[in-house]
Amino acid sequence: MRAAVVLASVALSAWLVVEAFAVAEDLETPRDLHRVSFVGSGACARCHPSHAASFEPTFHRTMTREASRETVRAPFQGETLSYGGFVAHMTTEPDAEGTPRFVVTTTRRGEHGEELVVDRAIVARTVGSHRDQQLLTREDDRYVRMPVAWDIDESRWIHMNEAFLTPDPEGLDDDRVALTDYARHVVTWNDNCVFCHNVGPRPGLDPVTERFSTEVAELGIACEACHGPGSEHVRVNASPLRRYALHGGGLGDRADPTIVSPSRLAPARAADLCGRCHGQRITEDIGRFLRDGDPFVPGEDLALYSAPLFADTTLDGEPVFAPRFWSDGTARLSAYEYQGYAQSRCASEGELTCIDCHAMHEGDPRGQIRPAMTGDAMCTRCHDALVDPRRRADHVRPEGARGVVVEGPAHVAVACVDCHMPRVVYGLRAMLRSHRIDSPPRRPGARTSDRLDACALCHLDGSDRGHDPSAAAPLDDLFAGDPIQRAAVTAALGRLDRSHAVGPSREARMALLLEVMRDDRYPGVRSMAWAALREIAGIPIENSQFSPTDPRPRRMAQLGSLTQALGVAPLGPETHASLRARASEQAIEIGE
Amino acid sequence: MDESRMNETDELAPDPRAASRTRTLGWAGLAAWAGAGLALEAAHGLKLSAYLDDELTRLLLTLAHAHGALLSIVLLLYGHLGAPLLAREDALTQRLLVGAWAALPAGFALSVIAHPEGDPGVAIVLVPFAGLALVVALVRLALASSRAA
Repeated sequence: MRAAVVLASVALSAWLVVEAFAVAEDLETPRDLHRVSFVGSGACARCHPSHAASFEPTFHRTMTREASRETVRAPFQGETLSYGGFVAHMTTEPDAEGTPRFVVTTTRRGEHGEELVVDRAIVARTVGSHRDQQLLTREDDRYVRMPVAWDIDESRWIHMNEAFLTPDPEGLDDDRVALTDYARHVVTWNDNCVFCHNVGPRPGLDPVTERFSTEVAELGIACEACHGPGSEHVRVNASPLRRYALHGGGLGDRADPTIVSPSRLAPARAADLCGRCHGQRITEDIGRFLRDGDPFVPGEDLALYSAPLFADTTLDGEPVFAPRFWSDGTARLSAYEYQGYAQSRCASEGELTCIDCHAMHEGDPRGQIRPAMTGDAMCTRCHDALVDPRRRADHVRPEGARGVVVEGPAHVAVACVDCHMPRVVYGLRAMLRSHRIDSPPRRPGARTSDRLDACALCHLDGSDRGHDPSAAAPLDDLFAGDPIQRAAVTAALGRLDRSHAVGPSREARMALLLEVMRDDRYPGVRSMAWAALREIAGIPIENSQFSPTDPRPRRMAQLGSLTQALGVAPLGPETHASLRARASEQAIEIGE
Repeated sequence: MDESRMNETDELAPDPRAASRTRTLGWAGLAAWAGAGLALEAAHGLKLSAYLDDELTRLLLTLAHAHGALLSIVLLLYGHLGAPLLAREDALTQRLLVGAWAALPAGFALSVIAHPEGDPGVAIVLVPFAGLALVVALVRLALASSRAA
């Protein structure tokens, strides 16, 4: 018996030694993740339940969903949305098996007043779950985005022309918008949204038949979008010996070449991973992308396959993307965060990367800021001298303005990001922080497409310009700027928390916002003005006294009631005419 | 009876002290793991997040409690029924059984310490060896029982 035990022990030890050598070699063997298939987040959650649970509440996870009672956020209880003479009716109907399906029926009045059904579409999938939820319908080989969407924050239906920066189409004020304008943002999902809103997308566009055979590894953004395809990782880690060699039973932590851990990547490669979607790009091989998908796998250099769009990027020799950037090259639309990051000295001279401040597995899903990096912590981690209040007070004085501006304390209450990452980026009816981290440049003048500087976003009345009389007051942009300048000032008017001491009074702000709601040609800007007005006037979000996409006569009536209720004195006709006369007609289109 | 015959008979006779020791260990183990069970119930009752929020910790401690209590009962049964079947020279079975009784639940319980996501801590290495020891001991007891019959 003793001999048998000894023999068994020797055999076991020998096996362990051989296996240990094999595991050690395997852990040093790089893998080509292009050759690895996806397994889906269910397989990941089996071994990584905490990571799966912490990612589950993020808006990334629920980016694309099959339509169901659980995923569709809108009620579909007979609501309607009117836009330019079209009426969208939202209803729920049971299918053959009794499962509810969500239907959008679009009608318009015929020449003799009869109601004509223009379209009847069944919601197949949803896109987005944060601020807006867009809807997709299936049309033969493709999914198509519907012209209406559900505003989650405000619990109301919106037309997509309001969600994007699009000017009012011809005929809106007469309730006779052309169908092409009504369906202006109806786009195909298979060659567009699919790339960033899913895992492992392969559009499958046949260049001859122009038909799609689209496949995705998983709807929405799941584990393998950032960690790379996981079949090899799952296969090799079925061995407990390998797992314990990797994590040492909780006592160690080694890199596994079968999977990508973003925190182990070099800062630039980690940023590439996020930049794949948070940085609009262009490729020379669009045919390959539309057939086989984006060949990029996490951990690679993004530049191998595509290049980020910048202001000077050309298409057929034309700088068609320039309007998406401020005149100094800073992106002014969302989904260009990667470009802003790349333009920052924190990235080019430091080692900052996206996941230094953001986290996929912790923090508030809105913004996904690391809890330890909220407030100024994200900056003082490197710029630690500024933790000292005296040095900070010195720091916040604009250069060359000593003795002109108020002393430090008033500015010390301002967060680092308010000046160095100001809200000058437009994204779906909100002004977001620029990810170009820089010293606030002073705007040379009030040219269209000049970036509003960080000072201007609080000193809306130009009260910071005493030392620079040539500079224009930012409020001029409210009417004279291009749509994004107008949106930026509109949003700033609604932020009373920090700027009330230096900007216009609350009453003046309300009067200005009411003007924007009445006359701005962009429903997105009007919508932002309505949100800003609600904010400063304390109007409940569910209040439906104003509809930004209604024709002007109807808006006038709504605004009349609002003005009376709020007791706001309107701007004088001369002031209004003077401001309005300078309005820019430059259109900004968001590429889709 | 000469001395050598007497020694041989002693070696083949069961060891009453061993049986008594295992019964003591069995009762002590049962008491200890019943106490541990009470602690787990308290963790549920008091909604202790360190216990409730970690599914693997819950599983490991539940396994430790279940194996500890069950093996204590096995040890009691062994003290009453198994030990008398074995010759005094056959101390291996008892050592294997007591070893499994100690190491199997301890392996589960200690592996909650600093465990990585999805896997128990390194102490889990005790479990397969203890499991093997238990199986060998039970087989030897089955064989002894068959011989006695």
